[in-house]
Amino acid sequence: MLALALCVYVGLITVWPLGQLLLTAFGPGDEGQLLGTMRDTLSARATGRAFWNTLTLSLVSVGISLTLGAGLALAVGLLRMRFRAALSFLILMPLIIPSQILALSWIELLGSQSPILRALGLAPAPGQGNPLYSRMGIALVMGIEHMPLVFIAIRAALKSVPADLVEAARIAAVPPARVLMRVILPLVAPSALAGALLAFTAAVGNFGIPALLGIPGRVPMLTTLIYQRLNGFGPSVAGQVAVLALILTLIAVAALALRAALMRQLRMRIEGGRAFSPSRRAPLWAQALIWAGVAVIAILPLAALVLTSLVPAIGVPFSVEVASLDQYARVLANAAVTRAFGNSLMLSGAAAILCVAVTLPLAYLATRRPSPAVTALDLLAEAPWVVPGTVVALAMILAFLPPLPLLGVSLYGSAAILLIAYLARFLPLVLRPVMAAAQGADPGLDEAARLAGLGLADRMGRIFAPSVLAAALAGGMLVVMTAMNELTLSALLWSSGHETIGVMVFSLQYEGNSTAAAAVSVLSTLLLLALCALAQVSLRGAGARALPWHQG
Amino acid sequence: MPRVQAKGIGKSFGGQQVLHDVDLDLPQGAFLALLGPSGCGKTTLLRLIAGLELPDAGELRFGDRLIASTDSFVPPEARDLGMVFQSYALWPNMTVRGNVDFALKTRRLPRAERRERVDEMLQAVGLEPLADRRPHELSGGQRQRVALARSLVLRPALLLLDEPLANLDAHLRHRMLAEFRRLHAATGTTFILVTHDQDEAMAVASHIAVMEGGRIQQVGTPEDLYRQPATAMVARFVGHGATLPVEVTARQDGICTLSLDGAARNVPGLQVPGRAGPGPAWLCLHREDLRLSRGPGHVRAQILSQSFQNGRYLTHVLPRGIGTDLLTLSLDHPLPAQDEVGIDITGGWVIAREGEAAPLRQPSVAATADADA
Repeated sequence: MLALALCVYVGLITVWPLGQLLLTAFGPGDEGQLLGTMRDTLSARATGRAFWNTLTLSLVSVGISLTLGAGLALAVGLLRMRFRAALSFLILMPLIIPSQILALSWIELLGSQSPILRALGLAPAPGQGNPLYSRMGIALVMGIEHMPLVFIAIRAALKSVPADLVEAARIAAVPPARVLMRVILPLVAPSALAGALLAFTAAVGNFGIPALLGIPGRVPMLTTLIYQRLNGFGPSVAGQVAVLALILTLIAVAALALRAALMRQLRMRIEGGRAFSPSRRAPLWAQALIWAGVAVIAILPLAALVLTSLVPAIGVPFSVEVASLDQYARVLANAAVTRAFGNSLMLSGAAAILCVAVTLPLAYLATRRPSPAVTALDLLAEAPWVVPGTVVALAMILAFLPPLPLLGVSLYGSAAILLIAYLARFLPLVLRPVMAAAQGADPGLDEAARLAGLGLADRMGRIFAPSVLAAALAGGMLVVMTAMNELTLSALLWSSGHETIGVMVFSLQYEGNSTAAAAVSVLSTLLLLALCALAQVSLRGAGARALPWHQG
Repeated sequence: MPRVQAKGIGKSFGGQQVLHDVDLDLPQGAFLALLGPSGCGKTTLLRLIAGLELPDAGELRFGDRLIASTDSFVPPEARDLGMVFQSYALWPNMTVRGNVDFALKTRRLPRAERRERVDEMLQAVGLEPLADRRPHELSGGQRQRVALARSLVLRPALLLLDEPLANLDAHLRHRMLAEFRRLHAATGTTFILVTHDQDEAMAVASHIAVMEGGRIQQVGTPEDLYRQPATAMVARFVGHGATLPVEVTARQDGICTLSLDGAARNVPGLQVPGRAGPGPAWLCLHREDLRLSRGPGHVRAQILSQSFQNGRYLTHVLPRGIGTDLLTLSLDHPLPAQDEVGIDITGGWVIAREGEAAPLRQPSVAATADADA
């Protein structure tokens, strides 16, 4: 009964929309020829260009992510230094900050109006365009945004290197450089590769950065091409863009499949034991270098964003004399902006609560009453997080634009379609930590309660729920933090009156009002950091481990 | 490395003292077993000798060479020793040959010599046919051999073994013990083995150091520990011994005259060798020190259980009114449970019992039932 309800839920918000997308992509062309839509779209020059851009720029960005992430992870993991926790948090910042805000902050840092580079005399001349509005700019910012994925993977691998392996080499008088090259790095390499493939998937599906850098720079990517087509021509081009979405999905899924295969192939069976912890103190120059690098990656762009938001009007160069909070007063007086904050908070809060409510029974069934159907359900629930967000948004349009059967109303143009999209896309953020906690918990607890005569509802509410509550709360917080600032889904699904913060930042910047965009970004980043702090304080122990910055 | 000497070694982790004032003097070529229950500090002492931990107090010397003290420290890579870890710590990304060869390679030895030494070592541990396997393709015993070969190929003066048999089954354990004895005899290297299993220690070691609570209770040959335990803990830990609280009334020429205080029937004039002066003492007993009495016996005891092992009836009895340790006798016939019997004491060892409370242990069959296993 419960399983049936869950099946209907997942079917409605996930299987049906994604299925609609497939049907559309494989549909006949305008003249009814077999697979016509697909043939037309695949032969279009724009498709080829966007595909090529997506593939190459993602690869270049992965190179950047891998270099930065591996360097930082090895430095933080192998050298003893102070403030390691603070350093890890700063390194993870690019992942926590939403991509459109990251892109905006880099635009402000490197543009001709840059409050920081101008002070140093390094800013590009006013006539010159922003160097980021280019292929390399997109690759660079995406590389930085996804660097933490590589960092997290390598840090985790380093933490699982048994101390014995390093000590055995030391006793055999193997020099440290060789221990690093021949013992530690080979153990870490598979994880680095896995992290890199994750970064690739994220880069392929990224919308915020190509939208803010690639649209003005005329570098179409698959995600932005879908957005521009739908924006320009409306739902009539649904078939075309569905094919684009399918290509996008295939690239992402191929990368993830490759990752899974590599993990199986390369995984080394490492004996457990005391984890390795660094004994070598970092020399001062290395610490200075690391902090300088982290400052450039995590602090400078945000500083540029904050300083830009303090400028009273566009085009006025920043100086201490002109700094004011006028922009903030102006954006807070703007009804659309306050509405966007209200919408985002409400939508993300509602999504978090509903996701937790659905996850509890789903995780209970999957771990305590496993059956092929529930396993399939669990897998399907993951799908909207695995495929790029743009694909999910498009699937939602295809499924919910036509009036609902029986009711006769279309959800498109209401807040409901945004909520449904959030529910589908962000469910795995709660599901995964809760499943991990449930798998870690002792199934004997449930069996004992069953033998003691407790019914299903009692067992779920009083035995199972408390055991995974911390993980569920952490997942819920993660949903709020992610959904509140997300742009990819809302860029395609918003409608007048139902704006989100991400859409607000994007459209202010698109209109050329970059100081207002900066102010809104700073406000939403502050809100985000406050949520992080709240999550940190309210979740201790098991739950806190699901928070992204605890993985550093 | 003529000998390993430790003087007054102390070590604490986060305010908790794990080693107190440890003294040790080990002759060259010895095979020392560090024996004790878990948490007694034996592994910490081994890691200090390896150089993986720093002592807080005291000093460590290899012969005349000062290896570690509060203000000097020779790092592990310069100590000329080998170590076999409990986890074996085989490098998973290298083959068996690669593991054995790795340290030689970093020493830039000529290829031919390396090959010869590695082959010789692989042959010594019987792993030549598996040289191209990776660690995860080996069984526990095979991994153990790789770890041994890897540390012995450097021809260290000292080999440290950290509970090397903990992860092996009983049959393999016996074979590996024989292997250790053989390699020890063949190489002349000093071995130090950490174990919590007294049978293992007795089986291989030329010297045993019994540790408890971060202190060395006694160092000696296996015979010393068995026949003349220094403390009640050693007496109970080694050779499945039992202790009875007694009173020494007189001592002459190393022979103590005892009175079995509180025993249901006290026969005066029981004489047992020992080193305790008049006053409270422990009488340390092993199975062969006890006989079923034809008469009333020195001690009255109640039969708790019997088990048939190796052709004899191991009989566990609880002495009446004296101590809480069970005594175990080896008999050639079964006796009904609950019967009261008299027991003659024909030997043993007496040590002083100063300020030491009677053992708080519950009578436990498990402590003695695995005798002769």
